[in-house]
Amino acid sequence: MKQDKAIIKVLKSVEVPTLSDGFNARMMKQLYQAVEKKKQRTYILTLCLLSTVSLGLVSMGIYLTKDYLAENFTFQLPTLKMMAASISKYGFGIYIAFLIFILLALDTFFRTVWHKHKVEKFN
Amino acid sequence: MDNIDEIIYIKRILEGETNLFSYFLERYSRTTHSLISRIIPSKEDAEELTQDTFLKAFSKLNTFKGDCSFSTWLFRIGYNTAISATRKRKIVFPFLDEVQLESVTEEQMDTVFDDDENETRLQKLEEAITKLNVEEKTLITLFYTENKPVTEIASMLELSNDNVKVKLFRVRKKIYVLMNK
Repeated sequence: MKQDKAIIKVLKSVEVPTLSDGFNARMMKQLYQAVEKKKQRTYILTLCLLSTVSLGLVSMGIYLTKDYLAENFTFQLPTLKMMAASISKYGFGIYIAFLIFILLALDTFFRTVWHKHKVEKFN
Repeated sequence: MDNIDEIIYIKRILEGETNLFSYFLERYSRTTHSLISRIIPSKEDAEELTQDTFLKAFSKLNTFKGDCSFSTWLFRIGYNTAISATRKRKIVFPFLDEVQLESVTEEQMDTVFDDDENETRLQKLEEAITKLNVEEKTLITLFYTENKPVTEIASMLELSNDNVKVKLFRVRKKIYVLMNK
């Protein structure tokens, strides 16, 4: 693109006003205020959200307690009944767990041996 | 300090070190204000717009991707702020007939724009420049005063390189027509 001498001369001759004193300081002050406002807004929003959720949970709790108490509801732990078929399943599970335990122990043992060997070789 | 360092600074500002923004203010406030002043003639408005530009830049800092330099990104915000301000104030710029613009030849423009000694002509040229709209003033300021390459101007104004070239060519024609009105 062509650089036109006359246009450059005119544009450069135009006096550009300078920024008023303390512009940067004023700007920083405004920015700190903006940050503070944002923090306050976030705090209030979080507080509102937490209050709403808490209120919801409390009202739900009250409603459920009231409902259960009205029907004389008793809390009971489920009883565990062991059947012959399920015993074999439990046995298989214990067997697998035992195998994993053995393999982990072997892995740790070999790793320690290998590490010791490496340290001795290095020394 | 290069672009990577500036990105690190931005990351730290976003993590809560607001005081680091003073580095960007120290480095770019004068240049941003000078560019806005060339586009918006009122001194008070230019300072207010510079202030708005930095406030917007600070609040949008998380959107800076680092695909261009911080100054380019900042000036883009400044330019958009200036455009919105002129729209709000409804500043009317002279409308020129398309046929009148098309009739201007390259030779005619070269004769006028290459001569920087004729005082009367320079005065007319200055008057013509004041009649340009914000986008046109921005284009010639960036190209002639700031010596920015076409690619950077395109990135700043979110235009294509060819579009910038075409627009610059049209601005020259418009200045010529306004000088001879």
